[in-house]
Amino acid sequence: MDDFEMIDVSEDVKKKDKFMIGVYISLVILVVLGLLVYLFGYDIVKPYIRV
Amino acid sequence: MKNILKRINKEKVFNVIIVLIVIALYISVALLIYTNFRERKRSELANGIIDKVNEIISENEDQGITEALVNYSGYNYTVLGKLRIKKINMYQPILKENTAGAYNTALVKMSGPDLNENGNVAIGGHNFMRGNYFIKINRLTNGDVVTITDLSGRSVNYYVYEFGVTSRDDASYLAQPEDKNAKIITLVTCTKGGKERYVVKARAK
Repeated sequence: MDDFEMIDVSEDVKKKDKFMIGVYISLVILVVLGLLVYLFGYDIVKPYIRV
Repeated sequence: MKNILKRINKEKVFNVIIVLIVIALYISVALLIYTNFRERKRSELANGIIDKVNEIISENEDQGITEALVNYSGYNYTVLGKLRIKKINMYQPILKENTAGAYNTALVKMSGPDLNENGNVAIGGHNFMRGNYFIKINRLTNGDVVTITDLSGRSVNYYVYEFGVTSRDDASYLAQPEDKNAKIITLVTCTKGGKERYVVKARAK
């Protein structure tokens, strides 16, 4: 067995990086969207809220 | 080969878990915002109704009316008066309708004679398991003042003399007093998700 056999994992790493970037972006969108809706969305949503 | 397959599966599972966590976060944030907005609307509605009650009182002072229909923001309710408890910073209208919608908006008269008349008037309110609703009545102790104002503008101070938890099936707190001249107010809310009732009784001197 060759201990120094090279395995090309660059594609896997790229895919994983892309996935994690997607996750980070969706979290940033969640925070930004959440803040916008919380701060400015009440008057727009108010007619549709049932008490 | 087996190792690679195992690694791929592990990664896939990990990715799916992360996606599920992100979706759960989106749903949680949406629910939190919706709950906050609903509480804002409830408090806006209650404050609007209080303003209407004040208008009715100033227009009909000493005319002896006991109830009036108000419309606020598309909601129609029959108001009976208002309740103020300074100690817990509570100021709410009292509604006649014994419906879920009315309970979600303000306090509701459950039973008894007209407000500020002789007898025991029971007033119920939701607490939504949060500290900013009627559950605050659990901070009241003997001698604390509950003020009820009816639509004639007559305000009566009631002094707390009894408080505690009772079973959901126990309705004895709704009973009328033996002393026919006694004016009693009974404040009721749920505890433990509706399994028990927290009751505060106050008497006018």
